[in-house]
Amino acid sequence: MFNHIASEADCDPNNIMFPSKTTYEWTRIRRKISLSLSLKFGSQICSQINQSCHGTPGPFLSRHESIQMALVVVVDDDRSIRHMVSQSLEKIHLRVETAATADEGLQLVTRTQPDVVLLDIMMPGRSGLDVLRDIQAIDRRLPVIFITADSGTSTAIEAMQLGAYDYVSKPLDLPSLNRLVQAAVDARRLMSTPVALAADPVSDQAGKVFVGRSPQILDVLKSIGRVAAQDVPVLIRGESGTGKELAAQAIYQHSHRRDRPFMAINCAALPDTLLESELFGHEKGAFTGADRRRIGKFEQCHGGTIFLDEVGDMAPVVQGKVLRLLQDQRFERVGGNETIGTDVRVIAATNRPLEEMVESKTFRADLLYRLNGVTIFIPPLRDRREDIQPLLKHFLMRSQQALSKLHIEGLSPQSLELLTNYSWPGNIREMYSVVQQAVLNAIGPIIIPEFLPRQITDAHPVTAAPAPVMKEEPSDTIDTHSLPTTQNSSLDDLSAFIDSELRSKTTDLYAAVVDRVERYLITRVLQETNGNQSRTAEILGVTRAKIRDRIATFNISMEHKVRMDNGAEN
Amino acid sequence: MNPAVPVTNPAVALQRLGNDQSLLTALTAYFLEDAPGLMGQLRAANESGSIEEVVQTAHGLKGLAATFEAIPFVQIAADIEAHAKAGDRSTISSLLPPLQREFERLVAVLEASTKSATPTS
Repeated sequence: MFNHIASEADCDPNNIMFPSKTTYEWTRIRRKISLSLSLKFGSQICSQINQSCHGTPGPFLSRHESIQMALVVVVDDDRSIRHMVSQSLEKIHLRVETAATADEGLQLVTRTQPDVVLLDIMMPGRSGLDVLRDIQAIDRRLPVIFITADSGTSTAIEAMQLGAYDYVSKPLDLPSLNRLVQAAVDARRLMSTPVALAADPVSDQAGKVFVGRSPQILDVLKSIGRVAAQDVPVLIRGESGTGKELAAQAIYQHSHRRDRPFMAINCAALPDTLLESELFGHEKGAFTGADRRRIGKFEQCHGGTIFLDEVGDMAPVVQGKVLRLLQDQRFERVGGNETIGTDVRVIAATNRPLEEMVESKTFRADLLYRLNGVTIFIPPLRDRREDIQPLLKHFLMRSQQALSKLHIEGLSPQSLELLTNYSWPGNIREMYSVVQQAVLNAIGPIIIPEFLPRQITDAHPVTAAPAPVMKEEPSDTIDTHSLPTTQNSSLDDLSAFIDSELRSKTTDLYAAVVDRVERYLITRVLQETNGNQSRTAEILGVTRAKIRDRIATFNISMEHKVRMDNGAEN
Repeated sequence: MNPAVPVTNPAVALQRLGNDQSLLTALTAYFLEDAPGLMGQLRAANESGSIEEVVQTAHGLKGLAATFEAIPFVQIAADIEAHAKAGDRSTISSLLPPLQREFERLVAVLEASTKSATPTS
């Protein structure tokens, strides 16, 4: 099967996807067997394949899902709380084990190694805070959510400062609790999934890995190694989908803070006021709806590492507070006067041109200087094309396992050629998504072009690494015959894409979908305005600089103009 | 007791439970089974001067009743808990009768809701 192919292929990096002659012969034999089986049991087999492809989990997928389900331990002496929480969390496909006493709870945590613990702060015999300390002695990175009777008490604040993940107050609001626990499960995975600094995907079996042997990616690995142990801020730069969060996780896991929390915040995903409150917390009554005091991530993450993704999208008011935090590790909650000290390492990432944003006064210069104590630049995939094949191999292996389609042996020569020549504007994230879709679509052991998404089969081959187009375009308006195009501009399959990502248990769905929608939106409005960037910016309600940035990021090409730049016309 | 405040608010309770009626029914059954024992435990703890147990039991009752948005009962239980933490035994004794009255009203409402939710044959 695939493992056999992979082991042969390891010897020859140019032969990563294809069966050797012997294996190829095996493939033909298997196809013949498959054909005769489908003639004999056709409908049954087709039905099973269709189930796997269209969302109703087949037997393999179900088994896989049960293996992957996160475990939550609930410790509360009130059986009605244990019952309601179990019922609620099971609805979102989490496994739940319960304990009625602190001692039972600790035994359960030791025995089952859960992903999240929900812990009553006030139990007979022992304080939840003592239990938290014992849990931390067992597993320092295990997110613990306290269940309290009163949200504003000093005990709850103390719990947060001791390193609790969050707290919820009674009476419990189960839909909110589900969201919080799911976020804690995600945080746990971010902290626990090992990021190997290996250049060879073969060494990666379970965790995430930087794949590639190109000099560019080796430089990234070296930079991570150099900076991880130093307690300085790091700015990670690179286009969307290049793996900036993975780099941040790797830095964290190789730092002396690895036993303390790691929290990731996407600054572009929250409205400005919400982001400020999320980062710094707020006092009761600070704004409409602030019905209780809230502890922010900077307070919660004391001793740990905060990853500020999309930092270029942060509002000026938040930039000011983050600057102060970087300078003296102090801040105030929104609506509060008390100055709070913390000890947090900040890793930031962006795909935005921060220097240009400083010039246009949309990003603070002093914050930029503070953030980029060290800068790591992750190159786009088109600039390290030699890594494409090892990456394809890596994602094939992961998708096979994640989707329980172990019968898939590899890519046909035509598919490999298309994938190798593709420009990958969405970088690694796009590649993973493409491979997943191909594996899901595949019927039979070999992935032929028919199973690849349209953006690959419809794309024009890349002959050289293209620079982002329109970069040097001085004019505001371009030739009216030049319509912007992108290789991934259709939203027709958004729903299918989301379904596919959900089945693959992705942990990056928000970014992937936002990326896809934004790409479509910008392209569509550019088409509508015949490429007029000012008009596009006006319609979208964003700055022209943002439009230019997104055109470069998404590799949106104005076909007529590209050819003019290349001297093929005029 | 403020008659304007309803004994429970099933709509709010149900919303908090993700509109899961069967879960609300199960929690009602738990309350009806567990709360009478806790009420007895609370009285006994107060009589024996076991303040720590008064705190725990009042806290437990408060949490149980909060599920049903039983505000009048929850308020008295919270007062008892607070006074117990402050070691104020005389106030606790004065709060037990109103707590008992609210408890009886609450049990009556919950029993009625259980009967109305039980399908008739």
